[in-house]
Order: sequence, then structure tokens, then C-alpha cells
Amino acid sequence: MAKILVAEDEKQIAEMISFKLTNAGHQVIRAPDGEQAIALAARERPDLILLDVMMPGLNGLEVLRRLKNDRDLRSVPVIMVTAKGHERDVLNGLRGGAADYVVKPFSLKELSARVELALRREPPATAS
Amino acid sequence: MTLVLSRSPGPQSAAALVAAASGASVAALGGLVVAGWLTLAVVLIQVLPGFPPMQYNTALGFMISGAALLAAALDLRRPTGMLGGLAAVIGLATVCQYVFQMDLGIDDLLVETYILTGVSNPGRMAPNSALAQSLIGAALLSLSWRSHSARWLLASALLGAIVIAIGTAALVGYATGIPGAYGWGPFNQMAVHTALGFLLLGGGVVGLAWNAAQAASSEAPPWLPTLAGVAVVAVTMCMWYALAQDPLPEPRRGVASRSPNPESALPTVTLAAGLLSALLLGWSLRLAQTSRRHARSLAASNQALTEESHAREQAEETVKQLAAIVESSDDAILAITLDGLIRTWNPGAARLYGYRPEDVIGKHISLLHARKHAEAGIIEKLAKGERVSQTETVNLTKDGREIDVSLTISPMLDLKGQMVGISTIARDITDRKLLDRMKDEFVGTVSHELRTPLTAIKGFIELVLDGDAGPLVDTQREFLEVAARNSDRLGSLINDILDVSRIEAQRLEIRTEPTDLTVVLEEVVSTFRVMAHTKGLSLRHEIASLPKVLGDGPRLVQVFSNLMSNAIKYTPKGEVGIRATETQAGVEVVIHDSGIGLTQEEQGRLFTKFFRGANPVVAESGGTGLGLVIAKAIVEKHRGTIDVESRPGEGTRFRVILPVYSPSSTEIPAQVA
Repeated sequence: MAKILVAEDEKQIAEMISFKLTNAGHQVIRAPDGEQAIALAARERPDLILLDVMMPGLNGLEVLRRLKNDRDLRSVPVIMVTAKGHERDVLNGLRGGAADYVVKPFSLKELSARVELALRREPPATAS
Repeated sequence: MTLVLSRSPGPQSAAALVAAASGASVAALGGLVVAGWLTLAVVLIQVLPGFPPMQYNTALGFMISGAALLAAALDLRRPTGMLGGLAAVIGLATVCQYVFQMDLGIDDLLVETYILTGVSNPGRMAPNSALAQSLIGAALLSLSWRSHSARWLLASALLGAIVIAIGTAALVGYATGIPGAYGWGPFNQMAVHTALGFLLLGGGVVGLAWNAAQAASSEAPPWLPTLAGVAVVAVTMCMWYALAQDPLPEPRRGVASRSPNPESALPTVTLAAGLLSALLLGWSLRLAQTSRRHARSLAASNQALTEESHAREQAEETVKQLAAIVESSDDAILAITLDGLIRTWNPGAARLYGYRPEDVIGKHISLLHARKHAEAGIIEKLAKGERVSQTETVNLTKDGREIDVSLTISPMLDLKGQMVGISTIARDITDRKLLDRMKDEFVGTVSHELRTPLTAIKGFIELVLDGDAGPLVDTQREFLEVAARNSDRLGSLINDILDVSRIEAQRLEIRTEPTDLTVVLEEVVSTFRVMAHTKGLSLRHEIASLPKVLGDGPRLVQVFSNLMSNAIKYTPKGEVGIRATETQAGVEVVIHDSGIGLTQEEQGRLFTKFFRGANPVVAESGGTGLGLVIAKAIVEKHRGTIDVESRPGEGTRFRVILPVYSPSSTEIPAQVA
């Protein structure tokens, strides 16, 4: 059981992801935009962050940059969620410290698999 | 040219007609006189009692030369020559008898002479007749000569003219009662109808020669003055001789007095006057000819001048119209030298680039280039005579603005075909480019907006199917699986449409780096292995160790995934395979299957948008008809090739060849959009 922050502006997609991850036994917190994502991450210290690239206000890449510049949050693994055709931006994002990425429209099975993988690779930051 | 037309024998011109008539008349005259000799019809032989008779041989000669003239008029060369030669031989033989005072036995050969009026040698042709006979024979012979060169025609005409002179002199002698004019010396005299006959023969020959000369040069023969002069001289000589023989034109007949009166000035005066008039006649004819020729050449050069000035007017008019088109064109039209200096600058160019003509004429064309070497290679292409049509590039205006232009560049050639400059027509396509970008953005936005709800649809279906929302009965599962498959299909359709719209806007971009195709292909194989096995197909793969290619990894995965997924989709049973080898052409990847195959017609349309095969298997599979269009575009962006080989019912074989990466070829140059 891990704490996962889902930063996604599309409410239904956020709900869908939450449902899946909750069923898989995780605790999910949701942020509808970039600013709240950073605030929630700082407050809740999640084990993993799912970060949509296309968000109003601060976009995912910018959020990633800020997270990686934050000493406390730097170690939290981030999985980027992007639309087909924008993978290139995400690949750049991976160099900026993202652990993985999935492309919309994604399969929930795939998403779950990647989430589990990232959690196993990175020991939970909140374990301390 | 021939005397008359050569297609069918028969007189063509008036001259030939007259000559034919003359020949026929003379031959008939000869025939009549021969008949006269045979039937004792004295009138026919003598015309008037007391006149000298036409000798039998003369009549015979007339038949022959008359026939020869007729033949000449009908352009029957061989008979003309043979008959003319025979006439000449008869005449010459007789002349020889006179000159060498001998008897060849030809005079009385055929008939016994019984009319002896003015006859020295019974039966013998008069000397002047014999001479005229030889000359007319020679003239006809000359006319029959193969080549109607001016020289042979002149010879015929001159001989004919002398014959006319002899005949004329004789007729004048009869008319004025000067026997010396028709009887030479103490010998036989020319009969009056003989004179007439020679006049006709001579006239006919001269006419034919004239005709031939005219046919060759379409104007009066140049030898006309000579001919006239010779004719007049010949008449003069005859008359002079006659007068010298018989100074006082007394009305008497018979043998002429043989004591010429040296005191009389008349012959001398006649001779002088005759020669003078011959000279004058010849000279004036020459003058007339010359002035006529001059007038004609003057008219011709006048005509040429008129035509030239007309042509120049037309050319000026054309130039004016072209200039008006160039002036009024919305496109920029400019001419540059081979060195790239601007020579002309139309108002369209001034509007497009903002420079006035005086600002740019003489300046280098690179002034307009937004990027260096934008036009590299174009001049080389032009030098080979090619037209560079519709090149799109970016130009710079006077105020530094970048504008998209479409260029049509053509070589300007001089009259010898040498390239002397370059003409460029530039059209502003900034608006069109903007429209392309807007369309591209629109498609991008739409496809993104479509994807978000699709992600939700797909995700929630999956949640239900996975049992996250509670247990399912089989029918529910079955229906939801259909919904899931169709949402997948919709997803790839959106992706493909996005790619195709990029390809069509020529904005499909690839980012190349040295790429190991082995990795790319292994990824594709691992993705499709399950799909193949699920369908019961064996998947063979032989992937050798390959040199790197300069490629865009994800795009190449897309290409081979598309080919692989098609192979599996369209193969109901058997196997699919992928094989990669290095060949001379580059790295060759072959994807084959033992599937339904393609007809020739289908192969031809395979790489066109929304094309889908006619086989029911194709209809069952969810495809968009865009995948191969995209694959082809991506491969071609890599400077590679893709082709297909297939046979219906046996399988299909796609082959992709990509150039091998060599460290010196840094990057695929951006292609001109």
C-alpha cells in the first residue's frame, strides 16, 4: 500500500485512475492542476506521483522541474502521462528525472504495471 | 525541266502547241510535195509556174524534220534526236555535194526530176535549203539533248534563228523580186514553200528552246539579245549577198546575173544598216532585260522590306504585350544574370519585397535570401536546361520580414540556346503556409480533444472488464470487449489521421540519430509475438547483426509495427516472418506472410489514402487504410524505399530498404518543403 498523487485536470480520467489504483490497494490523492499538485506533494509526501503533461496553468513538465529542484521531493518517483504525439516532450522529461511515462489513451493494466514497477524500484520516500 | 510536261505527252504551253502545229504542218507540206512529185501535180511542187520547184529530197527532209519538231514539242526525246539527226545528215550530204562538187547519187534516188525551173543540178536540193536543212536537223538534235543546259538551248535557238533568217531572206526575195535572196549563185533555188517551211521549222525550234529556258528560270532567256542579233545579222547577210549579186531589183526571174555591180552602194548600206540594227536590237533587248531584272529584284527587296517591317511591328507588339503582362502581374518577376545580379524588377517584385527597382537592379540576388545556400544547386540544374518549378523557400523583404514564396525558375537562353540568365517568378504563399499551419494546429487540437474522452471510455470499459466494478456475466463481458476493441480502433484512427495530416502539410518531421535497427526490430517482434501466437501463426525472425542507420527510432517502430500487424491481420493460417540483412543498397528488412495476398490492381493502390483490399478478411479487420501511407512517408523521409510483392492466396512480402549510417553523413538535409 502506497500513497499516490494523481495530478490530472480531466476529472473523469482522474477518477478512473483513482478507482483502479484504490482497487489495487493504494491510497490516492488528487490534484486538478500543477500548483495544487506541488502543494499536495509537499504536504502529503506521496510515494509516487502520476503527472499529466497537458494541464492548465503549470504544465506537467514545469511541475516536474520544480519537484526535482525541491530537496525533499526530489526522490519521489514521477510517471508522466502524455498524449500521443507528444512523447518527445516526455522523453525530454525523462532526462529531467521522470521515472517512466504512459501515453494516452493508455490501458489501465499497463498503467498499473508501470506504477508497481516504479514503486518497487524506488523505496517509498515516506518510509522514513 | 522538259520542254513540255513530262507526265503525259502533249503540248503544255502555247509555244509547245505552236511548235507541234508547225511540225505537223511542215511534215504535211513535205508529204504533199512528195505526193505532188509522185502524182505529177506541178502546183504542189512549184506553187506558181516559173517558180523553182521544191526538190523531192527537200520535201522528204520536211517530212522528217516536221515529224522531229512534232516529237520535240511532245517531249519525245529519242524520236526527236533520231529524226533530227536524219534531217541533218540529208542536209549535210547535199551541202557536201555542192562544196566538194561531187555526186553522192542521193539527188535522184527516189524520183526522176522532171521540173527544171531554175535548176542547176536536177533533183538536188538548193544549197540554201540544204544548209537550212542541216541546221534545223542539228537544232532538233541539240534540243533532244538530255540536259537542257542553257548552252544546248542557246545552240538550238541560234540554229533555229539562222534557219528563220534564211527562210525570211528567201521570202523577201520572192516578195521583192530579188532572186539572189532565194537562189545562191548559179545553183538550184529555194522554192517559195520551202522558205515558208523553214520559217515554220525555225520558229518552232526557237519557240521550244525559249519555252525550256523559261521553264528553268521563269523569265525570258538571257540569250534573247544574242538570238535576235544573230537572226538579224543572218537576214542582213543573206540580203547583202542577194543585193551584191543582183544590185538592181528588177522584176525578173531565172538565174541571177553573175556580175555584181561593185559601184552600187546599196548592198553596203544594207549590210551596214542591217548589222547596226542587229547591234541596236540586241543592245536594246539586253537593256530591257536588265532593267526588267532590276525592277523585279527591286520589287522583291521591297517586298522583303515590307515583310520585315511588318514582322518587326508584330514583334514589337508582342514585346509590348509581354511587358504589359509582366508589369501587371501580381507575382514578382525578375531576371538575373548568371552571376546572380538582378537585371529586371517588375512592380509585383516591388510590392512583394518592398524594394524599388533602383534599389536592387545590379545588386546580388542573395539580398532576398533568408537562409544561406537556399538556392544552391539550382543554377547547376538550370545549366542542364531543366526548369525548376515550384520550389518553395523563404525570402527576406526590405524591412527584414520573412515571407514564404513559391519560385518558378527557368533558364533564359539566347538565340543560339546558350544560357545567358535566369528568370524567376516568385509568388507569395505566406497566406497558404499560414493556412497549412492553422489546419495542422486544428487537426492537432481536435485529435487531442478526441483523445481525452477516448481515454476515459477505454479506461472505464477496462475497469468493468477487469472486475473492478464487480463480477460480470458472460454476455456483458462479450459486449464490453466489442466496445473495447472499437475504442482501440478509434484511437489508432485518430493517430493515423494526425500523421496523415502532417504528411499532407509536408510537416511530418523525423528526428534522426544513429539507430540500431536490431533493437527496433526486436521490440516489434516482442510486441507481436503474442498476437501471432493467439492467432495460431508461427512468427519467424532472422535478424542479423546490422550496421546502424540514421533513423527516428519511434517512427521506425511505427513503420515495422504497421507492416507486422498487417501481416498478422491478413494471414488466417500459416506463418509470418521478419528478416533483416545488410545488402548493397542498405539495410533490407523483409516482412512476409502466407496470407490472403494482393491482386495487381490492389498493389497499385496500396499506398493511397483510405485504400482497403476487397478480401472479406480485410473488411473484418479493423483498419483505417492510412497505415501504409504513413509508413511510406516515414520510410521516404529516411531516404529509404518500400515496395511490395504479392500474389492473391499465396502471401505478401514487403521490403523496406534504409540507407546505412556513415559518420560523415551527419544528418539528412532538410528537404525542400
